[in-house]
Amino acid sequence: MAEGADGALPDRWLVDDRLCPEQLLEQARLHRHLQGAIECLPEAFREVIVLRYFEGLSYAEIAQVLGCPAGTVMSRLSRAKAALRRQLRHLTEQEEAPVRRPEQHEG
Amino acid sequence: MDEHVRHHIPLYLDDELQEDERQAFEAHIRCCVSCRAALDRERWLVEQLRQARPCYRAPQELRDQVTSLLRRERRASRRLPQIAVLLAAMVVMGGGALWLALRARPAAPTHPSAFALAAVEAHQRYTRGQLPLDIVSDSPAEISAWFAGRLPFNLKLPNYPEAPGQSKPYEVVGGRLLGFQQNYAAYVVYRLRNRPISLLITAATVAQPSGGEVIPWQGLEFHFAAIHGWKVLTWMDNGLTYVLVSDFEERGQASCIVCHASTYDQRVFK
Repeated sequence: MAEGADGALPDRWLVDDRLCPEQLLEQARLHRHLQGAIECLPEAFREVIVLRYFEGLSYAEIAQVLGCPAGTVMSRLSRAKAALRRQLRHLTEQEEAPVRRPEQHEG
Repeated sequence: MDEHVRHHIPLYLDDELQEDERQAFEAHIRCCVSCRAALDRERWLVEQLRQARPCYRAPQELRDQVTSLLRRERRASRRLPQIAVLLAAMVVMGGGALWLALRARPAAPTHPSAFALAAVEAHQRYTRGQLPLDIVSDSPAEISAWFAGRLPFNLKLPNYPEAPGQSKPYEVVGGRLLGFQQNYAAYVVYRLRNRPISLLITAATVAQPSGGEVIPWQGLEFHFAAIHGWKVLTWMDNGLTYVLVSDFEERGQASCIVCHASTYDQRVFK
């Protein structure tokens, strides 16, 4: 598909230079964690995140679907994002100090 | 930081501000470093959320079935909110494809075209690093030359002239072929403010713009829509259909000005 006129493959074709493999892996992992974190959200928060960011509905449309005021949609979104941000921060902290974890168990 | 402005950050990113609020917000952001930093932090999370959206969708037939079922249900009873909540819950808990059922919303705008949806999927895959480019080049002429002979139509990417004393606000990154309805479409990526913009092009006989807010300009009709949170602009010109996908906050005609902000382009666009 990407062959040159002489049949050779120039080096710079088939190259995506934006992210290196480590960054791609890191990004994929982040998205997996984010999906997990969304699944763990309380239902009322999960709904608004899915409807807004996965389905692209406006606040008014979400309010109609859920049968609640648009102000409620706004505050739920804000609290849901705060919770997701906390989860992501927690994840980063865990990774920075992975080894000491077991010693912290208390009997 | 001004609390009022901070409250507007998520609304700005979600395209929920009124025009005057938006202008006031943008004016403030231009001169306030701490609010700009807060905006960038919030934008990062929103970008990650959009990119984390699973890349699969229910077949159109199933979507239509569930949609009509929901509509009937809505007419028949007032229990819709519970049904919607149930569906939302089912969907999020693993029934992936089914959450699309929720698109059965009141006053739904006309469906975006399959071509626009294909462009959105491509854009999302590209931003996730899942869509490698076949040619990487910052020269529109070089990319046009690469596409020549590979597409069932002629494509010549324009080389917008730089205005004197102003650098071009955006640059082309590269392109590749994408299959669409048993044809090849041309997928081209641009970069502006370090954020990617996707352009998908096919013959007007294969796909036509539809849905969204119609913005007439110089004999062309631009269809502006938000799909899965991305800004999507579709238009037809000279036998080709174009879809442009970005995550810029600007809407409608303002989204054209984002790229065409130079004095040369301003003349053309105003």
